[in-house]
Amino acid sequence: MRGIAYLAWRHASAHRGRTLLLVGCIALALWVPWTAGALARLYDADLRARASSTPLVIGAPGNRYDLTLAALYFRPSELETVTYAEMERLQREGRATFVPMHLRFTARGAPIVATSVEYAEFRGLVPREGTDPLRIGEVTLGAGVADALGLGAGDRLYSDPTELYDISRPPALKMRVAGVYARTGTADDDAVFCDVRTAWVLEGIAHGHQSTDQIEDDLVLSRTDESVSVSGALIEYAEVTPENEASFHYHGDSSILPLSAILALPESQKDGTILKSGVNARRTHQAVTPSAVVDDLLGVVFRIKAFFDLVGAFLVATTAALVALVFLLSSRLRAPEMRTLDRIGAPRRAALGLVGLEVAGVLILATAAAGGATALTLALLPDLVATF
Amino acid sequence: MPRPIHSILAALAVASLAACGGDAQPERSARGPRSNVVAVASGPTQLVAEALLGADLVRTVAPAGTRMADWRPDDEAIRQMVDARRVLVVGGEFEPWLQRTSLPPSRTVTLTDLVPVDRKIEVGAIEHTHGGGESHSHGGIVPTVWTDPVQLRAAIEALAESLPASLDGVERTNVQAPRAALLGRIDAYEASLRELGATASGRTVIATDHGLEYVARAAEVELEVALLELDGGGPPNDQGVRDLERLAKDPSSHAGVLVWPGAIDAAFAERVQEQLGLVSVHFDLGGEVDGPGSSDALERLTASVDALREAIQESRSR
Amino acid sequence: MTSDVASGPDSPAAELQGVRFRYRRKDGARPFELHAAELVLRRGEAVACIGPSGAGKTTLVHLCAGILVPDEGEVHVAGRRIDALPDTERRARRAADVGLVFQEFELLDYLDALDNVLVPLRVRGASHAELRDARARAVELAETVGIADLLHRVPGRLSQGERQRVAIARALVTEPALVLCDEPTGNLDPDAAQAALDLLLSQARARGAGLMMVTHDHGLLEHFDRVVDVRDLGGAPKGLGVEGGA
Repeated sequence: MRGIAYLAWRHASAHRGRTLLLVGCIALALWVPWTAGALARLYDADLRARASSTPLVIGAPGNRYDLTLAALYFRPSELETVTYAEMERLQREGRATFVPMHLRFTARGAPIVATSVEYAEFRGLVPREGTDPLRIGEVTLGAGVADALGLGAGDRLYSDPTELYDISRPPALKMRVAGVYARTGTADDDAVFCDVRTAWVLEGIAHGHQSTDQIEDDLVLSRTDESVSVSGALIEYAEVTPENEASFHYHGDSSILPLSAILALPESQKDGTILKSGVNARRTHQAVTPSAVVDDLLGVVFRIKAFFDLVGAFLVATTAALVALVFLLSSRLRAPEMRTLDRIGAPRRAALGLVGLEVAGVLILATAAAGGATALTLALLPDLVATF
Repeated sequence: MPRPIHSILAALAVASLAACGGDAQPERSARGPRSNVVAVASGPTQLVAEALLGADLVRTVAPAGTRMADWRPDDEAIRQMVDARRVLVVGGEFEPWLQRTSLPPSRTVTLTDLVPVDRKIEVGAIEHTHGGGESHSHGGIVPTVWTDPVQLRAAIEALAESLPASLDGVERTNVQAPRAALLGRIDAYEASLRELGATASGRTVIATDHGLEYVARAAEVELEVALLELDGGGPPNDQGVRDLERLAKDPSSHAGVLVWPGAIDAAFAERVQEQLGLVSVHFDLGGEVDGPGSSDALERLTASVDALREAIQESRSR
Repeated sequence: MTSDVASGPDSPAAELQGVRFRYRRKDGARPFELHAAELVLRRGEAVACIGPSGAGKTTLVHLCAGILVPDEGEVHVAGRRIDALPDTERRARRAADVGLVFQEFELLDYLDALDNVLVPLRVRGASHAELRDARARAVELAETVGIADLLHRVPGRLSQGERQRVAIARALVTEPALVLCDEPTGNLDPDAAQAALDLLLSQARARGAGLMMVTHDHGLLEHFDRVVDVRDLGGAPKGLGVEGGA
């Protein structure tokens, strides 16, 4: 068999173009379903892990998928808001720790998660430099955002403008980077965290005043005893500084301060059940269990995946048929060679062995290539996703 | 259960979002409050916390004598509060820095939230100016709830179990004696208030801000406020001056004193005494943290009540 | 009929006794039949096999090689009866005792000349040691047949004559007792054919191998020890494969 294997190897290497094409085709046919399967398993694990670690999400009545995905992955969505007063009311019941979340704004494309220090504690976010956001106007960056934007503690980050024609809101808030959280491998890496009060500044609910004495003379259009007219170039952003911090305040009743969602971390399962049923019974809010919602969503995803599995199976079957055809035709072309070997005294199984070993070799190479490509894809996936 | 198509798309989007994390190794570690203490920044919270826990388990983050209205906690003070098991604050407009500081809501206990709603005094917002300054207004719940003995007792009772329970190694029996002692002192304070009421005997007490509202109610003294707002060193509130002149007009109706819960503006006080016949009396509401060896908030409060009573007696005897 | 012939250097290279081989044609024509009453090819002897097309010359070569098994009679190669052996053993004996040269040379196009020469050893699963020895022998043989400089060329880069020499080297590398050639000069010009024949005869004789060559070239017959007409092998005119055949 060693001699036959040698002949098979020489044949394959002499026709390396054809061999590589076959290896490539088979590897591709295997890589697609393998990668899809591995990714599906990874997504499944990631999604379930994050959902399972989040006991309850409370929000306004509406689409529970949107609420859950917003609370877990900060997906931008037009959620109806709940009030901070509602969170305080729930907190007084004492059944859970409640974490406020405001998710409406972005900074250079990254979601701004306006929350409280309990969020960082709950998710295990530890500053790798600097601190948590300690005051309004301060942000702490997820590791991914910090790396992508090249920012660190002490730098400044502008929020993205939302409604350019709403003069009640600052077009952008210049925020001080208080720190950067260590990488967690979750959606937290790609978010910007600040205190929930900072979001209220962005909403225009809280604001400060800039002293007219601090305005540069060339930006002042006219100045009278009662008023100062300034150039439009002046207030391109708002910024909370130690000098103007004391002037920041809320207008209106603090009970209407809006939140996108409230994470609830019950003291016990019993507390969680009572809390959930109590919130849902009132119908003014909804409490959802993220793991149940994600299970439901994954059911959809995996039905779609099953379709892709079927497509993958067809792809593999088609490739297998094509490969078989190639070898069949190749065997026909090699009939004189087989006859010669037969006449020279090769064993009866030599022809089968020659083709079989070549097929096996191609399959082994293709499998290895597909395995390597799958591993590489999974390793480089974040970069690939960032690229595309 | 119906599933909108956008939810299905959202699910797929989630898959791509989750992928962004890749298979990076998490660098997580457990977090949470690390210091087995309750943090306070003001006199009344210090009083309550130390009565229920003892001074060793209370971390005072503001320097002694600091007015909460002027205080801006530095990073270290905020970190100490975040690291504490509980942060005890008064609430309302008493600590303006609360609006600008990232404290953990689940561990922040607000004294004004612990007292009965019907005991709170709310004053209307009045827009006004100081000389040529900007127009502004004040109003809402008067935050000096601790000056009302009923509310102070209610706050202590409300915290008697939960505050010790938030710390390790504090048994309820350990806090019984200091709590009882504090309640006894509140009784004494209440007696002083009654004496004050008796001394005022129906005459109006004029004050420069609303901080004395609960004291007046507890002492059954009629309080009138002339909102002068002289703390900033600028000119007095115009409306406040007009109010003061109106209130002082009839000497038989008031107690002959002008009570300053904040610092007395000596020049203005002298003019008031000369022109309106009102003797200025400083009243320490106990809002500031007490330093080592100094009196605590209740002692200062009681002393202020006694001093006011004496000032009224003296004024009436003239 | 003789059934036991001692193997060894003195045994004939090939011996056919009372062999009959027949098969039915697919086109329904008369069945073909080859009859060889007795044919003995001694070692060192060179025999030319002639006959018209379809007379059974190639069939005779295949019977001698054990590629075909006779319906009757016995075939001995190097003193061993091969027709009664199981297929596997018969193949092994063929690889060991018989060298074959074909008209089209039938080299494997993906192997270089040296590997083509060594194919008979590879297909029979020779050990490393055997291959090492055979490689040395092949190099020596290549020098002898004049292809020493061409050992690492694939057949596509060789001339007809050079391929013929590689095919001859392949037939001889196992030191066979019997060398069978099926019209090996059919595609060569006369000079090249003469040179190839000289090479075959000299090498077969030098190795003491019996040589049987099927040829249509009457100009070459003079060089053989014996010439047999495949039609006369039966001893009497029995209508030996007059029509068609292998």
